[in-house]
Amino acid sequence: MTEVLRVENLYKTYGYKRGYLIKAVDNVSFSVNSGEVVGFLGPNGAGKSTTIKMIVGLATPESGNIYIMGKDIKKDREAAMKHVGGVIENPDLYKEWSAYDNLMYLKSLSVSKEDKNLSFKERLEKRKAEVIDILKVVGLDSRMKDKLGHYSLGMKQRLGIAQAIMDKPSLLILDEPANGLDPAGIKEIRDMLRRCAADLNMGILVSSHQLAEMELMCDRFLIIDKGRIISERNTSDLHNGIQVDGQNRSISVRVDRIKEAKVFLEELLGIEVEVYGDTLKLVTEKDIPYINKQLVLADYNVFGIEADRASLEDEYLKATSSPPKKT
Amino acid sequence: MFNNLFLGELKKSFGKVFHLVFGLFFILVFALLTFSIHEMNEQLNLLDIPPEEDGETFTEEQVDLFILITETQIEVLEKQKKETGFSWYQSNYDQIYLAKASLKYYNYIKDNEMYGIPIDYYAGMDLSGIFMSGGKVTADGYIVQMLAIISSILMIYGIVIASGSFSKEYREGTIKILFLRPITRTKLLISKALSVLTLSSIAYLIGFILSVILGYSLFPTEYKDIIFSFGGGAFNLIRSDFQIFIAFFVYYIEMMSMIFIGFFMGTLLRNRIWGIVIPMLLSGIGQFIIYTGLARFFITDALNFSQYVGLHPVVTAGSNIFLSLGIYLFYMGGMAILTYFSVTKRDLA
Repeated sequence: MTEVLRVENLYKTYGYKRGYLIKAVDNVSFSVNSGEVVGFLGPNGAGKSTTIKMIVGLATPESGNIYIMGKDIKKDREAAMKHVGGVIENPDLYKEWSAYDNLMYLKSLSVSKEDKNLSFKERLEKRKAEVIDILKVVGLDSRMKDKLGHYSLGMKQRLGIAQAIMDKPSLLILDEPANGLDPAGIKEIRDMLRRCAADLNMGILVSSHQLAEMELMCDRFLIIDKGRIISERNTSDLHNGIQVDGQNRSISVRVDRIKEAKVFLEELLGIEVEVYGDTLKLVTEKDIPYINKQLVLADYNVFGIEADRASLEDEYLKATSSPPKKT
Repeated sequence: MFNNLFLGELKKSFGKVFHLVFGLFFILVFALLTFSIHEMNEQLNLLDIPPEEDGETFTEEQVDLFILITETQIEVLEKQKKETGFSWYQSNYDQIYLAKASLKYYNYIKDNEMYGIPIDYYAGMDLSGIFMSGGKVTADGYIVQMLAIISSILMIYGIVIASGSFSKEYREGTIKILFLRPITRTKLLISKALSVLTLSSIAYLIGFILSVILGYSLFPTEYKDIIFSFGGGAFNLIRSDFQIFIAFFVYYIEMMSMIFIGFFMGTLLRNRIWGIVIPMLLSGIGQFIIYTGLARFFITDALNFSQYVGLHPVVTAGSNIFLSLGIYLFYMGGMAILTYFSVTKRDLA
């Protein structure tokens, strides 16, 4: 797995407002590896867009470094941007041109080393074939000669993604890619991005407010608030149970003689156990097989025992509602 | 890759509807003017006016006398300048500069012993001395007149394209897609500037070629040697139709300068309207700035290259060709540098 993006201590302010320094991005560091989809979440004004704009060179950080495939964007922007595709904020393309013309033009601005050895005609033919192929991938080939003025938002989104992935970049950055899409369209985009990560080994950074969709799409999440990364979790960890603090997980136990079982577990684990109907809720560092074994040995009938599965929404709301840490 | 960038910029600027409407307007103005001038010539032919005397004829004594009078005039004007103080710079034109140009003209006649022969001269870009010959409009007179009008119309055309070149990309968000491509912003800036230059130049060339074809087909051609001066010096005898080339370049530079002010302003302010309005304002406020006494330090004055062309340079008080060139380079260079930093370093909002 290669590190396609490394962001180190990014910092940017938006000047003073009523005597307070407005920190848009405050000491943000993270990385994206090839083949993984990373969700970038946060409330409006948290610093997502500013961070993304700095990564692609649309805004300049006051301090910090950004490396794309090991290339420092400050020193070697052109070489770094060869590895990047993206849609920032909206899929804005030339609306007076057709989808085909848009992609032909944008494709012509990045000539690969191999293409330089081809004749003008060969290069043009290759470009045409590649553009038609990518339009087929996003399902716009039948409307490729229509001007973008006649496209729906969903079609524009798909075209935006098409231009972002047409050069098979190592790093793909997408800002709200599912905006304006119907459920079928959202699934298509999700499948397409998963394929890009799996088959083409792209590292993908996606920013979105659609948490349920992100949970299905992403391998890892970064949650940013007030300019700082406040949480970083793998989706698999999230699904293995709510990690309350450090190693402790929240576990639900369904068992007979519930009141006795409550006392038993409290004595065994030295923690407080709560009763919710026919279920005991406990937060412990002990794993499920250990608790199960102890209950069975104590002659309790265990009907069910499982780690509480947290949703991304829970994690997001928990992270963004907690007060910021003092530094 | 730069070729593709440049061709893409040409394609973006070449809006079909705008070019169709502007092209029709251009042809209409062209046809109407040509028809009017041609009809005027026909009427003049009917009047059968006797040919005008070609130029002035001087004797040696006359030239000596004019030199003496002009030298005295310069002394008087210099004295007046000292007495008047700052308000001298608020006058419409520099009388000393004009008198010195006349003195050089008489000395040129004296040095070359051009006595007893009719001498014609290129009066200046106001066209009064060149438009007519023998009471008729000549081919070169027509072409120069048309170039003046073409450059004014195409200045508007060029400013509309130039001012929107970057600002439209910022407004519609397409600049983000461009900045994400592996191209440097410097290359993008150069390709946009070149596309503006190319389209405006092609339009100007089309107008010029049309004028030459119509001028030589519809109007009489008469050639004679005339005296030409640039910047109140550098006297030379040139063939009268050489004025076409002088007018071609002077109007081209004036037109292109205004177009590039539109390009710089539209890009710096990321707003097409300001990119159109500012060059228009600049060309309209010249007369008002004169009354400040500081007109010679403004870009408006420096953009008026035609004030230095011809035998009677009507130059802004206190100015001269070197000062104007310096001011021109300072303002245009400054705007170019600011635009460069705005495109390459400024954040996208």
